[in-house]
Amino acid sequence: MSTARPLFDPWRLVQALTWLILIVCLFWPLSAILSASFVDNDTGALTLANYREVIETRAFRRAFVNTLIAGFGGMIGSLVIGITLAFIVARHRIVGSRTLELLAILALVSPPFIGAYAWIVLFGANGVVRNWLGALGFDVPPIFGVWGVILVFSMKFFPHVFLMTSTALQSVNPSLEEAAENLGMPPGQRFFKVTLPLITPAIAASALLTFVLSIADFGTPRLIGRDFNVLATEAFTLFGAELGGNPGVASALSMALIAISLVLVAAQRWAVRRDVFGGNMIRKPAPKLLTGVKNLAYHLIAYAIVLFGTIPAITAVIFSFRRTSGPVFQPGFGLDSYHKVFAQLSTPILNTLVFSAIAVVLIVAVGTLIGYLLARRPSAGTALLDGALMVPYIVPGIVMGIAYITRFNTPPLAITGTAAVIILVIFIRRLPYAARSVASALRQVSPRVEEAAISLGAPPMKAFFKTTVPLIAPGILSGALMSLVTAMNELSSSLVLYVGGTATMPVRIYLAVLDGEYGTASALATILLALTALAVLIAFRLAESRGAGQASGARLAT
Amino acid sequence: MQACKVSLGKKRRGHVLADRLTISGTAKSFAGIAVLKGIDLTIEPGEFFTLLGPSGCGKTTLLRIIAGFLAADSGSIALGSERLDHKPAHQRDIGMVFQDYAVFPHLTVADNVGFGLKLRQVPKAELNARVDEALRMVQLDRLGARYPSELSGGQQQRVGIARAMVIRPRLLLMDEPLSNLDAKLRLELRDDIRQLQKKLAIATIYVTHDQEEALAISDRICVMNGGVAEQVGTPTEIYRQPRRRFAAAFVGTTNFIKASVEGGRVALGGAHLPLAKAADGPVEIGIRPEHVRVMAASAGAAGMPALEGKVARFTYLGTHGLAVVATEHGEIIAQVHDLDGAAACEGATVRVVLPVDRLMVFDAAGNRVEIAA
Repeated sequence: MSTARPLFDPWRLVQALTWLILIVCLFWPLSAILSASFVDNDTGALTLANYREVIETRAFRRAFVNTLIAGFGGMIGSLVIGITLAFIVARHRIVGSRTLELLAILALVSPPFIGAYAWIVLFGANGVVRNWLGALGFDVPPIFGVWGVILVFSMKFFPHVFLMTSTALQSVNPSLEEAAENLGMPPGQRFFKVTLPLITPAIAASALLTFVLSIADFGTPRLIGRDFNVLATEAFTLFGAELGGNPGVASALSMALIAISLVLVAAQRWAVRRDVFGGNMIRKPAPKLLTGVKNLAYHLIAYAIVLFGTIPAITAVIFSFRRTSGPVFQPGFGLDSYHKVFAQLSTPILNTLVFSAIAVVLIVAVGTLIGYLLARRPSAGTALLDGALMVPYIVPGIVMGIAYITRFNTPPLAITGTAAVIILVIFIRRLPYAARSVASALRQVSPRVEEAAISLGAPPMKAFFKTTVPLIAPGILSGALMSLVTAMNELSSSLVLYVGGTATMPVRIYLAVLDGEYGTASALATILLALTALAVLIAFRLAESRGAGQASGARLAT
Repeated sequence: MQACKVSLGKKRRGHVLADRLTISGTAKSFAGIAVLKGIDLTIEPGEFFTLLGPSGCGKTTLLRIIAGFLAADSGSIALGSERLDHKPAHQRDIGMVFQDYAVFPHLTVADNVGFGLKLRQVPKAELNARVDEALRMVQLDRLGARYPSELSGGQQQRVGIARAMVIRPRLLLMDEPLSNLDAKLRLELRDDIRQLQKKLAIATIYVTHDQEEALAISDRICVMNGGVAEQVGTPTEIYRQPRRRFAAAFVGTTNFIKASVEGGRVALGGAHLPLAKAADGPVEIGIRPEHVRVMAASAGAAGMPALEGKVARFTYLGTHGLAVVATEHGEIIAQVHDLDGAAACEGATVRVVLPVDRLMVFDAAGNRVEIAA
């Protein structure tokens, strides 16, 4: 009896390379923040002084509390709006529901900062809409302050909740709801006692996401918060200040931000610890046809939510066509802003396209391989990998940017100031999304398909590329387009890492808003929006054809 | 049914088919739990060999180790003198048919079947001819241009079978290929698989949990339980002469009656049966329902073990019936052919007679102990 030799598996090589990538692009830079937070800026000695300063400084303490307020406020607002919309659209026959979905996605990916600016234009102290309402006798307070921040977060992040929960709602077996009704439960109660518990995993996941996004966003508190400072803004200010910058305290603040995210991740895991509801999909729920007042009300609510969410984008488009003289808007419309953008700011446009394209190629290539590991090679090692992939998800872009600039400022890898560093940070931040979406697409394809190819003589890698890849290709492509969208709109990390020649469109939009160049900002935002919309539309089309493919795949599996 | 071992010495396309597959000492654990506890099996050339057992018995694990999708912890697998377990799965030249068909949904039926031939760089003309022939064999001719989603489950599995057979593998593995099909299709495809296998004489290892399927299709069956090969034999041997209590219970229906051994003899229903081998303590006596005779209470038993009882339930099945008789030793199921007699009458007092030559005695470890003549 001899021991069978372990067969060579190229996927082990992939796993090793993945760890190498994660260590170099993620843990190594993050360790720079961790160590900087424990090091005295001047002497380089080990110290707890940075943390002491964070705890003892009143402003930082307030920023900590404000971060929690912004996080939970944004989360609750997004949940209420998102779940309402999901319930209306997923379960009822709503005219133009596809358009609503598309608009919600556009609201989601609409360029950052311009959003906050648009809200000021409409609801600021001298806001257009606020003035109208005032003339009609409705006195609305200006949007500035904590409530404004929460409102903007809710309107910006609710589409995440909407998209995730409406998918979950569509996969609740209606027989379960009918069983509840049949046992004597009225429909209202049924929603809370049966339907809602069944979609808790999706709700918990989207709650975490909106919380993390809310605490990571620093443009909104900056522009709308007025003196509502959060950890992200404080860290950025401390780090970015030309004089009197304090990397030690900035790092300690970053660690606090990461700690908050970690606690929330733990809470989310705890909340869904027992949720192992297997989707027994014998029947798909059919959208209900509504009549009368209820029908009208549901349509009104759905359209109002989505239109409210897209207001920033609409405002940006309108303002981009206003005539300007210098930074000042003039009456009437014209192409002044666009002339200016194309004359002076073609480099950021090109940068955005080139950087995101390179990042997306990397994301798709590596993300597909990792997704495969996660879905097809479950082991202690890949479980650890899955956990490690959560890290970019919870580390705010601003923190990631600070980590990169700290680590890559000096040899062995002095790439700060290059395009590579901006591409790498986008790559590592979006990699988990791509890996996860490939993993979930893979779980729809029977692993036996690949084994069949191997048994017919295809080497493992060839089997993967000849069978599994074509089957999940539409999924990979639509995922790639969504990555492209987020890569193009990446702001926070780029803002820390850019130098003159590597500025991207979101960075330029941010700078233009700060400089009061609203026309330029709007034109740039509109171009970005158009590119984004195009990518989203194509991704949508692909996702639809993938849906058809999955249907046949599901038929195969039964 | 008698196993007819087909030994094919003839050569086809360079490789000899007369290689015997030898599995020795194959063991596998998952997370510390032993799924296979050292399996030794020999599969003869051209043989239809079935691994039969309940779910979790390790049969699929063994099949996947042979295919190369899993590595065994220990043991060896050899085809002739060549070690298979040292080769990666794609170099083993083993055809496989899957439970969920695993046809490639993005390829046409013809491309599915031609997949392995293309990898072997078979010239186009020959490839097409072989694909056509394979499709004809599984009765899918004219469906070559279709996509799998346009086929029924049974047709998809036919594609899976053609795809595995067309490469003329040295060994064919089938992992519960019929379990996703409805009853009628299952019977139809079962017969087709059997005929094709005999025609092509490819040694086949077939995994199933359906004992009736195993009896119908196999040359030999290995009954597996808890990672152990309980018994290997022809269907007749397995059914008529189970060597282990598990085999007797899993294949077909068997009544088990608890008894004890005193002085080398088992006492049962007034008879004392001498055992060929000394066995101590409690034993179980098995008998199949078709061998149990149910008689009127007054009838004589002619020296055979007999138990008094009452007909608790009777199920009418057309050609025969099943009577469940409650006795002091528990309920005994009997196949009844006299549908007008006392046995068919619920509540009737009857005498259950157990012919000695049909009794199977199992010791406490589950091993068969013969009754001395």
